[in-house]
Order: sequence, then structure tokens, then C-alpha cells
Amino acid sequence: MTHMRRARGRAAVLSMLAIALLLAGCTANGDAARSPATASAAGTDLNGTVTVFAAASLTDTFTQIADAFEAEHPGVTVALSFGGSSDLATQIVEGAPADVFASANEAQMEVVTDAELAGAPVTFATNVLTVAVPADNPALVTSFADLGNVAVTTVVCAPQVPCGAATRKLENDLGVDIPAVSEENNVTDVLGKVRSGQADAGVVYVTDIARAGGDLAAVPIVGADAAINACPIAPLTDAHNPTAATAFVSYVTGTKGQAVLADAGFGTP
Amino acid sequence: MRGRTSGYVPTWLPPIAVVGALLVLMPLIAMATRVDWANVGSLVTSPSAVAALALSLRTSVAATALCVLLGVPMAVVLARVEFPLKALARTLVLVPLVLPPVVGGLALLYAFGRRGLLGGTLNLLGLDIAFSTTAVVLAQTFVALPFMVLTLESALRAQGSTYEAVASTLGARRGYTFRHVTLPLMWPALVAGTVLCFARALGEFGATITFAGSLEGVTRTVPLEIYLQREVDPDAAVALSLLLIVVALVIVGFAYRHPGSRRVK
Amino acid sequence: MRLQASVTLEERGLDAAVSVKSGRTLALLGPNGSGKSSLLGAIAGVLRPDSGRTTLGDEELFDVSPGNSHWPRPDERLVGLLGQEPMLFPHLSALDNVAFPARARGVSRTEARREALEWLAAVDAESVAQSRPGALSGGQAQRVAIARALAAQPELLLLDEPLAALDVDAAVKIRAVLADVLRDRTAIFATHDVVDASMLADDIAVMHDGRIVESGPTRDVLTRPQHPFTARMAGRGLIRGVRTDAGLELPDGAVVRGMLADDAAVGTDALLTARPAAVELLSRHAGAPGGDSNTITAPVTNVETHAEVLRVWAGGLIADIDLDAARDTALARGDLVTLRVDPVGATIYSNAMSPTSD
Repeated sequence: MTHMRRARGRAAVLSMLAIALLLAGCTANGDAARSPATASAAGTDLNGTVTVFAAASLTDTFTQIADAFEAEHPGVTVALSFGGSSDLATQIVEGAPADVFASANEAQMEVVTDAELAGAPVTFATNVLTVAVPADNPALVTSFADLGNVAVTTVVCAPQVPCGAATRKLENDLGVDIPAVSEENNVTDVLGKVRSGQADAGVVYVTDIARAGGDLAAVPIVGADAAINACPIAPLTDAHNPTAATAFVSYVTGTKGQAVLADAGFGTP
Repeated sequence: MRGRTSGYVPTWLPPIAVVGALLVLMPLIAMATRVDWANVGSLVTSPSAVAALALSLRTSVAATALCVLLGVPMAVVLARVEFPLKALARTLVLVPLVLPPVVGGLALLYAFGRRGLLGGTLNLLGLDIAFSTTAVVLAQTFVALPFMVLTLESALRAQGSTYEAVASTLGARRGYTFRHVTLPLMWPALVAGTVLCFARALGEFGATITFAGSLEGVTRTVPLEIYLQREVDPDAAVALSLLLIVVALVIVGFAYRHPGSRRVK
Repeated sequence: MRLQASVTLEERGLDAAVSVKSGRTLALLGPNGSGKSSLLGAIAGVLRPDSGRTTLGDEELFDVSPGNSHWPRPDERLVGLLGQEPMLFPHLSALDNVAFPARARGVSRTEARREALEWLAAVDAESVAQSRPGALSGGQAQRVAIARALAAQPELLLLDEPLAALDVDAAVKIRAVLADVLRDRTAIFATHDVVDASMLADDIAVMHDGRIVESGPTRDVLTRPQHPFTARMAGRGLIRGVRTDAGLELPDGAVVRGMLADDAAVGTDALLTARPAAVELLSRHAGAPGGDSNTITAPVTNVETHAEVLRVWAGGLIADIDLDAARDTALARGDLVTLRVDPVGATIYSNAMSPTSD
């Protein structure tokens, strides 16, 4: 009887243990992939891994910059994580192990600085709005004012998100009232609607069109400078690899980083 | 009351069940800790929240009705009619289950969008569903339908067609048998399927945002409103999520109130 | 209305033809798996055969043959099918189950229920009218199922082992109900039980491996079996030989006497049947058969316990010995035994299946 009881108890414990091991295994793997070899930070050259959280709109430019940075510092690996700025900000506030945060707007950087998780951010790029239309421009949009026409199916960002706030500001400044059929959460969704022809036009950033490739055309907005968007970057106070973090931020704001960003259509601060 | 059936459950099993339960419960509990209880009332009654909730209920009811209307015949055909490539048909029907909803939204766009396969046809018929509430219902139906088909079909197959055969030998025509034997016998599964569809439609996000867009009162359902609110006011997002969870719990509770109603031998 | 049915279904090894005279009940007697259900299923329309044709009176129920397919749905035939399980619709009360056929015909609910109550009364089950099927005992449920089958007013009623799932008490009662129901009704009653067949059927068709091995009036088939399989189902010994003046001459020259049931000519093929009660196992060490003792000597072919006796097969005959005696003798297959046949309990009749008999 006791023997049986013990056997059963053991089975229960074993099953718990198995699950614990499974879970531990998951985290262990995750750590191995992310955790930098902090031990040998001595010496002048950098090493280890630097984890960079960057806005999705920076995917192409930051991949290029990271490659160049790694080439200059062979000891360093740059781990890039792209996402919506607000997603990334939430993750950082909830304790995600990042070394650098590059936001597509100041509002989300503020979320992180307000939580005292980042030092002084630096603006590394600016961006202005433009009108995106399908390559064949079916609604024959030629100006921002055309978007005030109900016959033009226009998609914008919701005023709650930065690109939408900027669009709203332009509407006010330029005296255009856009009867948008949809207020999207981000530029990607706006572009998706335009590219598929579902919408006749969308308001996005200049760099987004450059990124999106051939199916789209841009109709420049005269007076777009009224709503310039600034992209800030900052090393994080809880960085595992602070030296590499600072070095990466300097690289982005330096000549080489700025050249890559300018090529992609970003304005210089 | 000593457990009458627990004697047949291996001892290693309940601990795993507990782990599973924790996996589900912990995030819910964690969310409850983040709720700004003092302001929940005003957060979920803001004009945008009310608009989203009204839209969600309207579209989910419509989508669920479509699921019943289309899902019952699909399940009956899959369970009872032999036809070539049936296994393939069954697999295809279930595709929306595995398809990431965003991809589902893209697929809907390619089919029913202005430049989609059927877009021209729909245009000729004077139907422009782009950025309309109809598009939301379509997206919700697309993702919810497999739940109905799956639930009903497995119930029908488990049931077998003996009762229908008996009805037939008693002189009942096929239509009468369907209405008075098949439907009543699959009633519990139909209720379960309906609830699943409604819940899935209510929670639908990816396909809607990709296919229908997001505009208050027209296409911005509660999940889309939550996603947007999260950008500016996480408290409002959490409060709305809480509301969605409460609605889900009420529905699930309703569905499983009579688990013993399947008295079919 | 007379039923004539022939059905082949290769997948189940079925190749059988039966006919039932108007107003009579045919027992389809055979062990489980002999093809009875498949034959009934084809006639009812729930199982499509490879080929076959069935007529009920002047009407063709179905005709499936190469190049011809007349296969109406079950609801287009006037054939009722009652199975081993009652299969009452679980979502309807007993009364509404019985009212179902009338409702399906378009009769109003009130009228259908009134009729249903009459059918329930006919099977003595009005008391359970309001019960749900789940609350009924096996016997009650089968009564309701019978009432429901009758309520469809079939011109032909098929019963597939309707007593097999019932306990002994219930089976006795339902058998009485069926005896009443089947009177003057054209019906086929599939059963593996010779008692059911003898009590309920006017005629018997014996089914073996998908084929009808013999058929005829119940009494004839059961008391004068032609086929060894029928004899086995009926629990009788059967030996074949040649008719002599005195009885039956076996191939080894021995002659067994018995009651001469017909005036078959001497020298023709004939059969002798005897119940176990008319056969006595003399001894396992018997000598040569004596002329007057009416014995045969043969090796044991099978030994089985059967109720309270040990049943021994030898030379086609069956003898029962009580278990006490059996303990001492320890019989086994192949042991040579001598059996004495009581001439009064044995019947000799012509072998209708023999090519020389007609």
C-alpha cells in the first residue's frame, strides 16, 4: 500500500518536474540566444551582443547599419528586434532585455524615459508625410487637397497614433478635411490597403513609400514640413552591454549611420 | 461526495492539468491586477468604446447567423454525403483555423477586394464592400465558420445515420427527417458551435483590420478599438479587454449550462 | 400481399432468395453473421445490394441489375423494419415516437397522437406514453418500437432479431406481443433462435453463409430437416441412408428403424432424424451393432455441455448424457461409441434434396 502510494506520488512529482524542465529548457534556450558574454568586456574593442529594439519602419536601414557596425567591431553581434514603436516601448517597460531603443516617434520614447529606463534620447532622423497611391493612381490624385474629395477612398492613420496625429495636424494646417474610410493603427496597414487597390490613397511617411517598392507611387505634399516627425534613439539604463549600446547609438547618429538613413529618404535632424 | 470517477485517472495527470490551468489563468489574473477599477465604468462607456461594442455585437450576431446558415449544410454534406476528394474538401474548410488571421484578411482582400477575383463582379452588382460593415461580417464569418463545421461534423459522425435510416423506414421523407431527426439530434452540437462562432467572431482582429479597415462605428470592433486605445491609453485597452472577457465568460457559461443535454445513446 | 425477394451482395457473401405468402410470417433462421440483416436491409432499402429484385404483390420494391437500377428510398417503400435495438428517437417522448410516422405523412399532431395512443395500447404500453426513451426498460422500449413500426402501416414488416437484446423475462412478454402483432401480417422475422422461429413463424427459411439452405412450413422444417445445418439449428440428429422396408440402411450396411413418415419407395435416398431424448449412449466400449438393438457405432465428432447435460455428436446423431455420468466416461472426439435409437422417437422420410428423390 505504502509502496503504491509512494510510486504514485513519485509519478506526480516526476510529471511536475518534466514540465518544469520543459519550461526551463525554453527559457534557457532563449537566454542562450540573447544573453551577451558580458564577462570579457575589458579592453578597448567592443564585444558581446547588443540588443537593439527598433521601430518597424527602420527595418531596412537598421539592418544595413547593424551590418556595417558589426564589420567595424568584429567582436560584437547586433541582435535586432523590430516592431511597432508602442509594442517595443511596452515590452521595454515590462522588462524586455534590450540595450538600445530606436523609436519612430517621440511619444513612445517618452513612455520609456518616463519609466526612467532610458537616458537622454537623441533625434537621429526626421520624416515627413506624403500621399501614397496605387502605381496606376486610379483616382488621379495630384495633391493633398484631392483627398478632401469623398469620391477618393482615402485611408489614414488613426489620430491616436503618431502618423495619424501628424496627418491631423497637416489637415488643420493646410485646411483639408479628409473623409477617411478607415483609420489604421500603423503605416503598414495603410500601405496594405493602398497597395491592394482597396483604397485610392493613403497618408504615410516618405520613407515608407521608398521601403514599400514598386506597387506604389508618391504624391508629394506641399507644406508637409508643417508636421515633421522626429525619430529618437537612446541607450537603455538597464542595458546588459552599455558600452556597445552607447557605441551603436553614436554610430547611428554619426556620418555613416546618417548616410544610410538619408539614402532611405529620412531627413537629417 | 467522494470522487466517483477519479479512481480511474492516473496520478500524474492532475498536476499537468493544474499547470495547464495556470497557463490560462495567470495572464487573466495578471490582467485583472492592471485594471484601473475606479475608472472602469467610464472607460468602457466612452463614446468610442460604446460604438465599438455595439458594432461588435451587431457584426458578431450577423456572422454567427451566417455560420449557422452555411455551416449546417457544410457539416451535413461532409458527414453524410460521399463525394470525390472529400478528404481534401474537409481539409480546405478547416484552413482558416490554421491560417494566421492577417493572412486570412489578405486572402479575403484578394477574393472580395476592389481588385480581387470577385471584386469586379461585386462592383457590377452594385456591392462595394470595401471598408464597410459587411466586410467585417465577412471576415468574422471566414474565421468562425470552421468552428461550426468542425463541431457539427464530428457530432454528426459520432451519431452515425442510424436514426435517419429508422426515420426513413418509418416513411419520413428526407426533408422531414432532416428537420425532425437530424437537426434535433445535433442541437447540442449546434449550440456549442454557435457559441464558438460567436466568441471567435467577437474576438476577431487580424482579418478584420487587414480586410475591412478600422473606422469608428463602421468597422472598428472592440478588438480593433482595444488595439488602438493601447497606443494612447493602456487603461482603456485593459478595461475594454475586461469587458470582452466578461462577455466571453457569459457566453461560455451559457453554452455549458446543459452539458448533459446530449442524451443520445 | 406476397413478397418475392432475391438479393446478392458480394461484400457480405449474400446470395439469397425468399418468398413470403400474403399474411404469413417467414422466419429467417440462421446464426449471427449468416446474412439475415443484410437481406432485410436490402428489402427495406437501407442497404443497397449488388443486384437483386423484390416485388410485393404487384409492386416492384426494387430492381437492381446490370443496366437497370430501380432503387427507391426506404420512405418510398411500404416496408417497416424493426431492429434488435429499439432505436427510439431520444428527443421525443414514447408517444411522439409512435406518432412520428403519421406526422411524417402530414397527419395533424392531435390526430397522430390519438392514433399513437391506440398503437401503444395494442402493445400494452400506454402507461409509458409520456416517458422519454432514456427512462424506459429494454422491454418497454421494444414495445414502443413495435408500436412505432406498426404506426407506419407497412404492407410488409421486417423484424431483425427483435428479442435478442432483451433479458429472458422481457423476451417472453415481447414474444407474446409479437405473436399477436404478426397474426395475418406479411412479415419476415430474422432470428438465430429456433424457439422464436417455431413460436412466431408460419414458415422458415434457413440461412447459412449468405444462402438459404432449405425452407418450408415451420413444422416440417423443424421436425424433418433436410439439411444437416437445419438439423443442427433445430437441435436434432440427422443421418442419411437408403430407405428399406424396415427403416434406413446406412452406408456401412447397418439398418436403423424408425417411424416411417411418408411412403417413399424402398431403395430411394432417405433421412432419419431423432431428438437427443430418443438417442441413448450405450457405452464407449460397445461391440458390433446387433440387428435388434437398433444401434449405430461411430466416432464422436463433437462434445459440448448443453444446459445440464453433456451433448455428444456421433455419426450425425445427438445424445445427451447427464453430467454425473459424463464425469465417469470422459468422452473425447474420435472415441468410438455406440448409440441406441428409440424407433418411436425417430422419423424416417424422403431426402427431398437428393437428386434421385424426384
